[in-house]
Amino acid sequence: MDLQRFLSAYKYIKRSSPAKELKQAEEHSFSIPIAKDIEMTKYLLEETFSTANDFVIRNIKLSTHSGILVYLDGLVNTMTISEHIIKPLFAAQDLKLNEKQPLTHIKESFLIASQIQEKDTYADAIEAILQGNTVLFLDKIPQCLIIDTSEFDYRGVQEPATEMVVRGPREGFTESLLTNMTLLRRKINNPKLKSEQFSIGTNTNTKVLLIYLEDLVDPLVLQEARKRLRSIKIDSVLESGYIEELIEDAPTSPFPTIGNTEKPDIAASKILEGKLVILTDGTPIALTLPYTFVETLQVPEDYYSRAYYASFVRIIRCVCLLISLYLPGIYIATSTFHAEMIPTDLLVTMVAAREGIPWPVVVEVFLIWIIYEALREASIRMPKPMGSAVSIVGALVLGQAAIQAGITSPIVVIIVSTTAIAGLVLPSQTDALGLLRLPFVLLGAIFGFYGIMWGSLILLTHMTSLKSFGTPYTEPFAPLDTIRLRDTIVRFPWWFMPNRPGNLKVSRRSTSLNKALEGKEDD
Amino acid sequence: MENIKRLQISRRQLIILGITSVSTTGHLITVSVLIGRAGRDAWLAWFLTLILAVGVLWVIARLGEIYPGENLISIISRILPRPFGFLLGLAYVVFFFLALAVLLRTVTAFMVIGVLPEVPVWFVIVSFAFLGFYGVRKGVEAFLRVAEILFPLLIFFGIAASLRTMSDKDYHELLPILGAGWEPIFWGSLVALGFLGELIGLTMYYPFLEERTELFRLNLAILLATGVLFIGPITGVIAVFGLEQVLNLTFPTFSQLRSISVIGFVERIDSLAIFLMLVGSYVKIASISYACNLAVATLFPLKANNLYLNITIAVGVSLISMFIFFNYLTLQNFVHNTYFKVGLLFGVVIPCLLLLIWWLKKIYSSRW
Repeated sequence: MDLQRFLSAYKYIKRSSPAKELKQAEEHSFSIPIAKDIEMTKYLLEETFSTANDFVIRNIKLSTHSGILVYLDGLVNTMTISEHIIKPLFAAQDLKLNEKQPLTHIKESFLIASQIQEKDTYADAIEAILQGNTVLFLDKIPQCLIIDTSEFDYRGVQEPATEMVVRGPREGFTESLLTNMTLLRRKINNPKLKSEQFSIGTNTNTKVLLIYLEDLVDPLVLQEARKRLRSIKIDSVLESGYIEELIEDAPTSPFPTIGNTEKPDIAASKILEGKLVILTDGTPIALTLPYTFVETLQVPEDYYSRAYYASFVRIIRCVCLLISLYLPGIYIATSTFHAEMIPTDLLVTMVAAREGIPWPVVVEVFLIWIIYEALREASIRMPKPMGSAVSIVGALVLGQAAIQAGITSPIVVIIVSTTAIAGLVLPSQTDALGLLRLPFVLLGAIFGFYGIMWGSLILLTHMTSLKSFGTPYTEPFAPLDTIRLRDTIVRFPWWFMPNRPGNLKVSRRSTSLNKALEGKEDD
Repeated sequence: MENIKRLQISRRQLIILGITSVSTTGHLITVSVLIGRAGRDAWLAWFLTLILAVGVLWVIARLGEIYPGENLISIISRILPRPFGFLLGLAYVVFFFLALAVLLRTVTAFMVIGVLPEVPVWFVIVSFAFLGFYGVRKGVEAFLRVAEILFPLLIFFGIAASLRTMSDKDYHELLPILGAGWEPIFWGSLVALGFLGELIGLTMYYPFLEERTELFRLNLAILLATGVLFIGPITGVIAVFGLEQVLNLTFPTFSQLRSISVIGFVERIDSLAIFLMLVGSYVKIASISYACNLAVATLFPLKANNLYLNITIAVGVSLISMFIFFNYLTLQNFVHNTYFKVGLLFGVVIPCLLLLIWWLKKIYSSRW
């Protein structure tokens, strides 16, 4: 292409085109092959990074060619560039390069870097520069060398604050994709551990890794995950939550159909169950899929402690789940409609406690609930040093002042606080439980037990209709899978589970699910 | 038909559907009607019903096996020539519709009489119709999974309630056996067979079975399970209340539950009855609605689980429940005197005739 024509066209496009057209034009111009004329390359890159003050072009002179080294300062290790690129190139300044393949000659004989790639379009070169690589262009050569020199400052591997354990590994994912992948590889030393890279976000070009164990993964789920990741159309991805929302089966449901974790041991265990893990650059939160409801009850420590104790704790979690969802609604329903169910002594105590309270039970519950939610939100958002102050205010307001002032009865405080504590036992469902409690309170207040049970059937139907990448959300309860049932409400000892229960998924997957997924593919 | 056939359910789910369907109508209607007809010997009538039902279920299973992958409506159209087949298919749609309306109104009466005396009837009807509608919208897999999850609880509560009232039971109330002779037993079993005739609805689900199944064994499993499960309530209510009192009770099994207190702490467990009835009714309402939906979709060129069809069925059934069975007495009269005959016709007589016609056609075609 003629240099003058290209440059004038590029300038014209940049001056006159609206943003969308400009973008298309730029994408088009970037996808063209690298020009032989180094001046043209230089001009194009300078225009592209015109306002980037960290953009560096370093001229070099070799015996037969002149060239440029291009990188973004801050994303690269400058010592590596000096020692392993510039120094060898200067040392080879007087040597004659291979006339046919000078870049290959440089790559193989002079540069000292772990990864060097030859590319021939501006798009590849620019993407590489943005990812912290250094790119070498030579005059009269329509290719470039992409040399890995990236180095960023990242938070070290620490114990995640959201998933603490008493027994078990303490390391957590970081914001570095490479570190996270390494953490997983250290857990699963197996060449069958595969990772596929995707670049998502038209503006951010965020690197996303889809990780799985080749032998165990369900090929249909893998195919579906690839398809959904490829179909994402978004300008930016700053956290894995963006991806989660864009690929999950039921984004409008209160229940998550994709799991997330900050811990490599959890991610590794999911991979070993034949599931997929998605790592996103810039966030320590990994996504796991398919995700079923029973995973809500499972925590990694269940597998590190004795089976009997783990089973006991899981039953407690189940009870907490029910308390968190139903307790306020049942209390309201019982005290409003079904007082005959309450033993007389307890009923007398309840009535005496409510004496002088000016509003109905449902208003009382709502009032204390709102105060609790406000305190919870404040304690999450406020600076740490103020935590104790809020705790004191909360305890006084909730515990004493409200009761003494006759705004609420002690039993409602107990109900709301028990509900709140129970809800915190299941972190992955805290959002869903918080949302669903409200309808049950209303149904209990208006229709008593009938309303609560009616709502429960609607909720259960909704849950059974959910699927996560073809896997029913309520599996292994329905459809019933007696083998996988061994690791649900009760965890059987390991000798009862020679294979990880999840490993059986592929072989035991019903033909209907396979067909359903295949049908989806066809669509 | 393509989209209908792609759905698949397991044998276990179909058995649970059958048991839940029979149990719901059983607790609400069959027990009181059977005791009303056969008196103390209701349990004998129930045994006779089971024996007769084995033959009926064999016929139904045979039809399903002769035309694998076909539902009742398409089987009818295969056996009978076009106008007759279409009209009989339409009649089955009306039967499903009627079964749905009767169930909806009965369960509403149970709720209103038993636990929600201040709530308007129309509201309970609409709420149940909505449950069914929602279940159908979410699909057969969804509501059958709900049944699969809750079924163990239903069985557990049922057995626990039965055991809890054991101390109040006096089985001498069942004596003398055959005190009124065989005639009431025969008529009682015929009435109960009429209610079991609703099991014909299962044929609408045969094409969805994911494994190749011997349908008769599957039907027999349903029959045996319900047979065993119902001996308790049929004999239990007479043993607790005595025959004279049971005859005056609208929902005898519910009255039995009301007398239970749990470990001396929870005084009355009406909520348990609400739970048992609500779950059973939900599964049955959703399954008949779905069957009705499929029947219409098979008769006419409509997509299965069509939204407008679902709405029409839910609204239509609600209106019939509200305005035709406008009070419980009307419903009771219809159920005790007419509905079992309809059940016998559609659940017993017609399937037997269909098999007979198929057999005659087969003989005719082989000879000529």
